[in-house]
Amino acid sequence: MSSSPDLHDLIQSIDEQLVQASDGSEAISSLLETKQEEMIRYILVGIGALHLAISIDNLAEVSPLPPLTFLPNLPFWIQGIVNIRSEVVSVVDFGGFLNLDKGTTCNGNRLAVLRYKKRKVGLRLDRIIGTVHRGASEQTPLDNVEVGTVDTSLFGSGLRIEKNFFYILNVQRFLTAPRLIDYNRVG
Amino acid sequence: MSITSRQELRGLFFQEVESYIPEIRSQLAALGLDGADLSAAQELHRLFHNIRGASSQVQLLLLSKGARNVEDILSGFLEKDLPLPKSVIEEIHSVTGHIFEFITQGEQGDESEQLLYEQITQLCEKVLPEADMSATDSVRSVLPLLLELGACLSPDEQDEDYNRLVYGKISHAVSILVACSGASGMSQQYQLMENLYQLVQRLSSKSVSHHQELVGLVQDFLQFLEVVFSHPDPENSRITERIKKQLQIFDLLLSDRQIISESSDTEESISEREMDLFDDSLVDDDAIDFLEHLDGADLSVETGMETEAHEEESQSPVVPVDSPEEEIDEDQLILMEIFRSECEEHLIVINQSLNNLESGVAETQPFSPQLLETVNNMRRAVHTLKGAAAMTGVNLLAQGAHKLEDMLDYLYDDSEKISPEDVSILASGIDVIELLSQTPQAQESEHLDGLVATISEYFDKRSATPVEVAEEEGDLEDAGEQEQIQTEVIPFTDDDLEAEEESELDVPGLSGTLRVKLEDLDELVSIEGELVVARGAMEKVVDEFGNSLAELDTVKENLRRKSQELEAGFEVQSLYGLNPAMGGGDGQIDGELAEFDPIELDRYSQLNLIIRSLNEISVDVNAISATMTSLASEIRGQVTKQQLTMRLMQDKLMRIRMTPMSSISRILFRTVRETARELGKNVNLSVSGEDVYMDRFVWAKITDPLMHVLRNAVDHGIEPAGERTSTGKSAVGTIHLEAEQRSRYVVLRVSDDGGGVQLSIVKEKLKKQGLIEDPDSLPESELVDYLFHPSFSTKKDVSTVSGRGVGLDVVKKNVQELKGSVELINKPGLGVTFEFHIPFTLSVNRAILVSVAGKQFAVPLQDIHHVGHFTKDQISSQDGLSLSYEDKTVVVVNMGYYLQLEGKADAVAEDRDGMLVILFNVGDDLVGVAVDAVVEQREIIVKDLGSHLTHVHGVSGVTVTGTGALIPILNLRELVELPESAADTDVAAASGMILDEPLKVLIVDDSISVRHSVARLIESQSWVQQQAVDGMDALAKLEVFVPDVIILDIEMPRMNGYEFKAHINNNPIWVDIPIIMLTSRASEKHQQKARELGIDLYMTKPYQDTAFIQMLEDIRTS
Repeated sequence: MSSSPDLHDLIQSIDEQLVQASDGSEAISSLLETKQEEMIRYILVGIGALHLAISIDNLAEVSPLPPLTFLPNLPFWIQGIVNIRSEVVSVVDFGGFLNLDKGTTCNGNRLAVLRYKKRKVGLRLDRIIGTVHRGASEQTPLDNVEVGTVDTSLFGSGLRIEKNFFYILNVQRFLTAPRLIDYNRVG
Repeated sequence: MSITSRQELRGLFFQEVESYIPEIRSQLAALGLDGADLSAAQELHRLFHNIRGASSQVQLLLLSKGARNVEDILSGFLEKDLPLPKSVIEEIHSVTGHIFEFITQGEQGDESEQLLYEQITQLCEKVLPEADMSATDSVRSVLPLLLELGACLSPDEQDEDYNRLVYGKISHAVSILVACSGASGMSQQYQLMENLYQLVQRLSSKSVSHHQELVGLVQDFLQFLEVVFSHPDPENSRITERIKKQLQIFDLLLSDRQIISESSDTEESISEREMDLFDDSLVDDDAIDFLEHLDGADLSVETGMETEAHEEESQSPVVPVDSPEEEIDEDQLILMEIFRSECEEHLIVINQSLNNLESGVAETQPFSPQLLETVNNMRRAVHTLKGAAAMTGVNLLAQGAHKLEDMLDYLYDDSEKISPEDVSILASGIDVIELLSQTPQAQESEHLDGLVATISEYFDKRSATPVEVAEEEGDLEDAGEQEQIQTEVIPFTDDDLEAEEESELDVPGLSGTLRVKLEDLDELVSIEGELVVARGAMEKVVDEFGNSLAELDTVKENLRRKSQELEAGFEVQSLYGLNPAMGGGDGQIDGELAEFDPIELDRYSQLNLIIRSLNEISVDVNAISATMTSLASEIRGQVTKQQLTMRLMQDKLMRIRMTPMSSISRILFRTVRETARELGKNVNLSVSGEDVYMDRFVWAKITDPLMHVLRNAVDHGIEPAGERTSTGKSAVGTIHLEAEQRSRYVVLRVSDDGGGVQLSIVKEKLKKQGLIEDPDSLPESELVDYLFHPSFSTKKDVSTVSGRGVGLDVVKKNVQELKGSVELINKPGLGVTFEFHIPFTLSVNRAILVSVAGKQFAVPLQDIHHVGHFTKDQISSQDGLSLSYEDKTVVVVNMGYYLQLEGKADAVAEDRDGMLVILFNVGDDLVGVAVDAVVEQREIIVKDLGSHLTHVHGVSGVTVTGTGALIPILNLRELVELPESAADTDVAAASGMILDEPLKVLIVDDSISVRHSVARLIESQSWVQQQAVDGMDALAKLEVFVPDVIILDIEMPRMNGYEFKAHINNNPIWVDIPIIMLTSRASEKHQQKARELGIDLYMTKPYQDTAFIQMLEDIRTS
């Protein structure tokens, strides 16, 4: 891979050159501004006291929780499987997965199916709060937030919306987490 | 944009510009009086600026460019505060005239716009000859930087996120260039940039998988752009046309890529296609030169001849969109696919023959008839393979096969003896052929060269060197004549092939064979599976229909009885006691006819008529019921027929997918041969049961584990020759692979005669790795199980073959994914046997559905030895539960315990009269598991557990019912293997889950409508319900279905609600089940009675759905 610092310098040069090339035209200047930030649509959900923002790009489905089928010999945070249009999807209690609020399990009746490549996993939700469009500049780094006991390894940053702080779930990281994949070994 | 809307927009634009013309002329007039009139010049600048922008919006890009030229001229004077000379004012005046003329003529097409542009340009050049190359220059200035940015793309597919970032930046930059091109009126470039922008934007999105070739393509296109813009005339349509075509192909490929990345695993073939389309000549440095060259060539009309000429030039770097080469590529791909499949068949025969030779030729010996026949079989297969390879263009393989055939010809025709060395050369030759068959695109092969050299040497040592071999060797020495060799091979085989084809053509079409793509077959099997599920649903509906008919039968009988009672008890009385219906109560008529008995005059009362009418209705209901019963029986018959036909279809489909073990045995032989050669050991593999069939998919999945076990056997198991002879064993090690069909399973055994697993080493390693503190306390079977533990190896040294401890755990995992099991049987000093039990197909199965703790599970029939109800007398509870079956004592465990639904393994329904037990085999022993009930036996479609749960201990898959509910399929043998400690731990974990299970409701009401409406409401919440028609029926239901709540009516036949509750109050198991009394009796008296019996929840009919659901929800969460 090419070195990143060079890339940043290059991008900066290109941006400068483009401003010159656009010859100060209003239309192009406005284009420059509007093209600069890509907006991402998030769904805002609640699992117990935890608030999550999940990018719509990583969502396969949001629906009422279909009948849950229990399977034996699984860690407690895998609650079972559901049938979503002939596809079997496991249902994870995310609070349990993160070891939040030990002893309680999510009993919500909503489901968000996350996907990364061919893997799909359902998250059981207590509530769906809404959706928002946000750009990268509106994300709040976790360094600036009091995270308490929350394990933040699965969250890159967050969104502050009204009084709540929503952790942006890194779906790729979650769906490739060793604890999730090696559920038989790690427990 | 639609044509209509574009016309509308242009109409508006013309009106807008028309409105500017008087103002322009007015400002020009003002400037004519005073060339330094700043406000007039500024207003003029504004108006031309508006025209430029608006014309760009309606795609009149040349007009936009012309207006920009005028705007630039005006800008030049305004910036320098110079007065406008008269000549300039006049020219702008003329320009305005041309524009006015253009817009008043309306929509006229590109030619008039081009003419207008040329006119404006000519006029502008007069006043500012060097004006307006600035936009092109600006774009040119950015392109080198863009090229650099493109060079930052990483070819490594792992750097997907990084590349997306770069694509995003390229996309952003190109979007600006789109605007620049558009604004400066470069219509060709504008379109080109716009297309490129769309493509790069798609690459920066997350829906497209990244591949090395895409990176190369983007870099190439950026280079092309630079070429285009560096040309003196950037609007050169020929160059841009060619690039547009490339973009179209790129777009096409990207579309394919997207579809493929979402739905298929055949990316490799597409990659190959892409590589063909964008061959090296497109990505090399000559591309720029080529584009320069294109500029001078006449490409305006591509005739067929020109296309042909292009095709002749193998170096042609550009493949047109509709190139016939693309079709050829596809044909070639199909041909290659057919060849691969044919190749497999021939290689099977070749390897079988080789195996026979290897086992039959232990020393140099004269040819026996059998050996000669074996060599002949091999020769025939090699010959056919050679012909097929040559026809398909796999020339290296054809050459290799030709060489091998020479040797086989010699052995068959001239040689009198055959030696192990001969067989060894043949084996290595076959290995080379297999290798070449896997790389059909290869242009050269060291292995082939080695084979040619070996066989040449072989012939050199013998005097009977065939003439043609010598000739070909001569050819081979001259690499420049490779093509000739190929053509020499091809004619040689063509005749034979044609002869073979002719003989095949003689076969009548109806009895021939047809090659079908495996994925088509899989799809067919999948559809068939869905049909099985749908039929299951249909069967359920038919059952429900039967139940309703039975209810109707009861009602019908009641009706008949009641009408008979009425007739017998009241009809005659009604004649005398009640007013007659006829006569209308006329007392005079009564008096006149008083001497007649009412019967004699048919003087019926109203009641009399109702009774008669009731009788008639009863007869009608009887008739309808009889018809419906007959129809139901017919439907059942049809369903049964359908069941039989579908089973037949399943069997046929399964059979089509089945292949014998011989289809993989050649790979296994090669594995042993190569490993033994690598380790310098002498090992023979023998195989029995090659005619055992399994699903092709299953063989494919089990091949890797088998290869691993075989490699392990050679490396770990078989001792060095010296060691073997010192212990009295043969110097040659033996591995035996045996396949055996057992019901719906295939048992595969891999046994070696090596030293076996040394338990002392296992113990030592276990202790060293900290896995077990006191290994001596473990029984041998558990110690051996640790060999399947990740990172565990007994090998002291790590070699290229084995010893890293990565392998047996993967073997076990793969086998588990196939819903099978693997067991290691160790005989120290004598060897090791790996025993695999693999279901021969994974798709459709028959199973019984059992109920355990209110949940349903499926158990495949092939796993079950016997299902039966055993009385208390047959069960012993000493030292755990056991029962006596066929003079054997069978250990019985509670299935609920192993499913983590119940607390104790040996606490099985103590208060019931015996228990229901499923007996199944674990090795040679029988084991029993107690279940609550057997719900039904049915066909099930087996599905895996989804993309996340690859293996769940004790669960081999899941089946879907007709209603879409999932039922886990149990692997009983694996389930009861669970160590008790693990089960204990997880029961606690699972206990939290029980509350989350769907609420189980028993509805007890004699009204079918009430039962159904309540049932529908319950099912709408994804809860589970069962129904009973009265108290007696409810008691029977409770035996098999323990609900979380009972919904109870008061007035019911046989046993009313109060009696039912009083009855269950005497049973400690049922007494605490919450009850909702659902009745039309709202009086306090009834409610009081219910409270006395312990029923606190009371609801009167009709009820509000929300209130009723809330009541149930409260019970669920309490």
